Amino acid sequence: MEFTVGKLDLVRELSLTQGVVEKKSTIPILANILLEAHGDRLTLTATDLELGIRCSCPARVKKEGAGTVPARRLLDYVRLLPEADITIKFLENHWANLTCGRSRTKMAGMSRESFPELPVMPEAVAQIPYKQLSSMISRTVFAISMEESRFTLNGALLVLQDGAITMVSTDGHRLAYIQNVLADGDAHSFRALVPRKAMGEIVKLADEGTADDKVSLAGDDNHLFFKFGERLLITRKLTGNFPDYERVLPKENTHIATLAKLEIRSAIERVAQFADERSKAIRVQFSPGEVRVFSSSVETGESEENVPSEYKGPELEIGFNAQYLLDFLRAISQDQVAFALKDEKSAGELQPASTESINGHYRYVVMPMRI
Amino acid sequence: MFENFWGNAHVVRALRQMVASGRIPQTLLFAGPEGVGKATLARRFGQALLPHPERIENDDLSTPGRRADLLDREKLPADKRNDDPLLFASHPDFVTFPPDGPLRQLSIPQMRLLKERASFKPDVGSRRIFLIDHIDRANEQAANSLLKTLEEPPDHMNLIMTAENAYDLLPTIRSRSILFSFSPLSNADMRAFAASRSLADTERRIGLSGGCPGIAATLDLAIYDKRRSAMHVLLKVAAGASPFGAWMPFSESIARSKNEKLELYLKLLYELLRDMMVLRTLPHAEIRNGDLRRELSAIAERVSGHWIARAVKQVDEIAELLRRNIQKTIALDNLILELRGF
Repeated sequence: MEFTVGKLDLVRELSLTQGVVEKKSTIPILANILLEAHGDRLTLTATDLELGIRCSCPARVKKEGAGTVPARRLLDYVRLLPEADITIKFLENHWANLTCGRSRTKMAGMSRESFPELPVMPEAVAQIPYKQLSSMISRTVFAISMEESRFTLNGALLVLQDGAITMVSTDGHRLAYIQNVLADGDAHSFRALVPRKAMGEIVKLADEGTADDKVSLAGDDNHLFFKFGERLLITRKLTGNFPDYERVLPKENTHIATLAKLEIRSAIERVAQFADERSKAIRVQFSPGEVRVFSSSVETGESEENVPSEYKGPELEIGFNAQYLLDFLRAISQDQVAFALKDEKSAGELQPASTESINGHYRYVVMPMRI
Repeated sequence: MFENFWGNAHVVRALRQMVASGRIPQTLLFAGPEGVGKATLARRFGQALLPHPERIENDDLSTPGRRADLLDREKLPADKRNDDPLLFASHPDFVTFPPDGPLRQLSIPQMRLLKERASFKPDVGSRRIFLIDHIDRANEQAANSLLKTLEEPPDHMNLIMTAENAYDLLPTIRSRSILFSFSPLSNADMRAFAASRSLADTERRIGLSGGCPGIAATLDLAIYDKRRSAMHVLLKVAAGASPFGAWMPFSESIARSKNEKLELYLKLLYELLRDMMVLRTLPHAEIRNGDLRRELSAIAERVSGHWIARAVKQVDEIAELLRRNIQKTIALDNLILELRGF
């Protein structure tokens, strides 16, 4: 195999594949990237067996073929080359010969035979704008469980139904739910658990596109496929029973406190410094006209703040994990936030609230803490 | 199916029926002596169940490549090993978790990784097989962190665990698995195995292997003889047939070889003690170390059955303490002194 490719093209595609390359030393072939030259394109493939990615860029192919080289080393080296064309030629012993200007390098590679086959993408079920998908992910990914002992679904639920796209994640203490209208509302219904690691890669790939670009989504029995133009991300699906989130979303939280996001966020950030380090518990007191946030701990001291609010409900004092509240307050772009409450013992719900129109439906449910 | 597998026909038959009926228990426990073919049969079972089975055999831990991997891991510091828990997965749906590190233990991070990996659907088909080799090498915390997975395995998961002795395990693990006991092979089976591999020194290897093909195939006779003569002298000295000074050169040579595991010596010591016990009761019976028959009889005559039982108990104790990284030579010196009656 022999081809010539622009340095910038190669660096860009190699960078996008790095997140998927296996770091484990015990399966050496997976630390390699598969390079395939065909027609007028170079295709790059990486996989860690759970996740796979295939990118491609234009290349002048002199002789078609395929070979693999260590992904990390190739990127580290190519990045240092001057901005010029790079010619790569694979030798009989699977080594790769790289030439660029006056630089000449031979890299130890491995035969492509042992590189795993990636599955073939079936017909797409939906087209989702890049920005929409990536904003849905960044608004739910933080609620995925990190703890070992908790109920561990290491991913988020993705549902397509009735022209809407929904993403839900939970760790058992809180739940993030976001729903958007799917512009060209396809009739396909679709439901799958997307692994957390794949979500991170999707956001990276979506960042490369423009506002009009759309992801093609597809799935077979075991895999999910996200096609970003010439780039394809494949992930194995997760199994597990996702909790019945419809039942978790509160229906009777009628006491609404609307607050300026920046005010309440910085109040909680400061007060949380004096919360118990493990539980991060703070108390939030809702009274007509204002919301008071306070914390106290035997070792560190105590702290409190008031934030004005149009709240007309009864006096309520609820314990929350400060970190959970902050995760949400940092994820929304609107300048107002609404707390919807029922009583001290029920879950509280947070939503962005704004005079400007809110795109989609974003809800966040947090369990109260007993303090 | 299961060609080139010798012995334990009852297990083979049961597995064959499972494959034929398509009903596979989600958790299997294979128990039996080392080298008898537990992991080998687990891999063959995987080959019968998974598409594209060729690569599964790459993860045979006795192959030179995998052995080198395990030795490389020993040199890593413990936190490196915890950051990158050991597993082999040459086949994407056949994942092997072997004991790791210089003490060859299964760690908590490995068991957590198993849980995480298990939640991913198969690459191809409807099944993923996870093999935990030497589950008896998991400490209590690691074993406990596996329980949840055993209790609610994902539908596509089949877990196979191997252990030398099922009764070394937590009862909670044993009760969650279907147990198959593997027994040592008959000499006829061993000969058939040796012939298929065209092993040299067949009779000697078969004699020493104790009916375990894996041992017969991988035994390095030169190293074996070196270790055995050390343990032979140890017994001679412990029984009072030689002065303590005779032991010193061996003690020093064991102390010098830092990377050599004492377990390998203890295993031989058990074998020698076993042969001595046999010789005491049935002087003409077949023993494993047949070439040492005269020497072992001489030692056996000097000691009582009670002495041998006491020796076994003390070796057990050393074997257990080894997991806490005790001083090898001091432990052996002490063993000798105790048995000499000091």
